[in-house]
Amino acid sequence: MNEKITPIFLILPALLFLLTLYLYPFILSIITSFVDDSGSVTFYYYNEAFTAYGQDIFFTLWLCILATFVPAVIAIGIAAYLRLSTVSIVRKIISILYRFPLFIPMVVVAQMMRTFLAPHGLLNVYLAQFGLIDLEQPPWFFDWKGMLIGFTWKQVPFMALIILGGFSMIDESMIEAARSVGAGYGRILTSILIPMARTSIAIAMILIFASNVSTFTLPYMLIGGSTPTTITVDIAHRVVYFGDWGTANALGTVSYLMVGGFSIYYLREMVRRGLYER
Amino acid sequence: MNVKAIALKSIQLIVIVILFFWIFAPFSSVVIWSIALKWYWPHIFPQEIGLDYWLEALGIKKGLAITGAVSIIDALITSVMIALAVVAIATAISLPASYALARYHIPFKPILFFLFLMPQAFPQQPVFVNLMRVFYAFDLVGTIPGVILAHLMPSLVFSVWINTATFKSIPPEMEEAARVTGASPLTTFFRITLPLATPGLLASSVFVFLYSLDEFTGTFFIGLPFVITLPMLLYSSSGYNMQFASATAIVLLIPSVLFMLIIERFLKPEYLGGMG
Repeated sequence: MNEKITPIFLILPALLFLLTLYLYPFILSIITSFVDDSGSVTFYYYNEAFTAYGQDIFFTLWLCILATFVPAVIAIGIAAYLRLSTVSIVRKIISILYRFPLFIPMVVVAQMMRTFLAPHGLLNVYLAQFGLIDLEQPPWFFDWKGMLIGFTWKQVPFMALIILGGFSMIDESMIEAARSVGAGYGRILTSILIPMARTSIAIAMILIFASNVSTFTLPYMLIGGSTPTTITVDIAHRVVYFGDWGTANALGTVSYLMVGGFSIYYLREMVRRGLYER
Repeated sequence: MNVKAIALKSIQLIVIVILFFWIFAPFSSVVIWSIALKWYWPHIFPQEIGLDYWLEALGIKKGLAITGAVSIIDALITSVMIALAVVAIATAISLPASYALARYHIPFKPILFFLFLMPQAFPQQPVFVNLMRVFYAFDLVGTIPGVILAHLMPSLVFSVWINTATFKSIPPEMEEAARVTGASPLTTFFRITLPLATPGLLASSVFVFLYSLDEFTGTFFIGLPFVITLPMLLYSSSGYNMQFASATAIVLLIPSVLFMLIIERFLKPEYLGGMG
C-alpha cells in the first residue's frame, strides 16, 4: 500500500464515527434552532429562549464565571505552594490530599453535595455545633452557593494539575535569582510564576469554564426546576417534558456561544502544540 | 524555635485541617447516609446504624422502602457490560487512527486535530439531545446499543488522544530496524509496536472504561427509562431514598479512585478534564 493512501484508510473509521456521532448532531442542533416546522428560517425559538429563560442564561453565565475564578485562585495557590516549597511532610500531605476529588465523577459529587449541603445536612449540623447558625432557620444552599461549592470542590485539583504543569516548566534559576534579590513568595508568584505560566492558566480556566457551562448533573440534582437554574436543566425540561427541540437547541446554541471564543482559542493552542511537538 | 517559625507551623496545621475538612466532610456525608437507619436532626451521628440498606442495595435482602427497584448489582452489571463494549469498540477504531496520526503525514491534519478536540471544548449536552433525536429514527433510544453509541462519541476522542501520544513516544527507529531485517509492516506492528505500546493502551482502556461507567448526560437522554446504569440508579433513587443513593454513590466511587490511582502516571492532566 502506498504512503498516501494508508493513513487515510487507517483514520477513516474513527473519522466516520465522529462525523456521525458528534459533528452531525452538533450541526443539527444549530440548524434546528433557526428552522421552524414548515422549514423556513425563524428567530422564534431565540425569542422564546430569551423571554422564558433569560434569567437562567444570565444566571448560568455569572455562576460559571464565578465557578471558574474561585477554583482558579485556590488552584494557583496550591500549585505555587507545591512549586516553591521544599520537601516536607506537610507538602507531601497537601500534594496527596488535594487530588482526591479529581477521580470522583460529577454524579457522585452531586449526591455528596446534596446530602452534605441539605437544610438538615451535615454542614448545617457542624455549623450549628459551633453556634454559627440558627437551627430553626438553617441556611439554604441549593442555589448558586451550593453550585459554587460543588464546582470548586470538583474543579480545583484538575486546574492545579495543569497550572502546576505550567509552573514546572519555569526554569529554577529564574526563581533562585528572584529569591537572591530578596523577592518573597508573593512577589515570585505575581512577577514570575503567573506571567510565565499564563497559557497554562488560561487553558485550565477555559476547560473548566466550558465544563461548568455544560455540566448537567450537579444543577439537575442540586437546584432542579427552581429558579434561577442553569441552561442545561432548561434544555432537559424542554426536551423531556415538552418535546420542544427548537427552544432546547436555541438554548444549546447560546451555550456554544458562551464558550465559543475561549474554546476556539484553546483548540488553536492545542492544534499548534499537537502539530509542532515531536 | 522563634515566634515566626511557630506561627508558620500553626498556619500549616490550620491549612491542613481545613483541607482535610473540605475534602472529606462531603465524603463522610454519603458514607454516614449509607449506613444510617435512624438519624434525627440535628445530631451529628445517626441514632441507629446498620448495613440494612447496603444489603438491600446489593440485592441480598429484600426491600425496606423500595420494592421492585433495580438493585445495585443489576445496574452494575448493565454498566460494566456497556463499558466493556465501549472500550472494545473505541480501542478497535482508535488504534489505527492513532497510529496514523502519530506516524504519517496526513493532509488536513490541523482540521482533524480540531475535530478530535472539539467535543471537549464545547458543551456536549446539546449534542446528546440531538443524538437522541437521530436515534429515535433508528429505534436506538432506550436500548443498550444506543447507550453504547452515545458513550462512544467522547470515548473515541479520549482514546485517540491517549493512544496517539503513546505511539508518538515510541521511537520510529525501532520499527525501521524491524523493517530493514525484512519484517512486513503488519508483523512489525504486532511484534514491535504493539507490545511497546501496551501500557499506554491499557491506560486509555481503563480511562474509557471509567468514563463510560460514570457517564450521566448521554445515558440520561438516550438510555432512560429502560437502560439503568449506576449513575441513573443513583439519580433516580436520590429523590426519595438518600440511603440507597448514597450506597450507590460509594459503589460508583470505588473503581474510579482505585483505577485512577494506578493509571494516573500514564496520563497527561488535560485528559482528566473529561471525567464526570
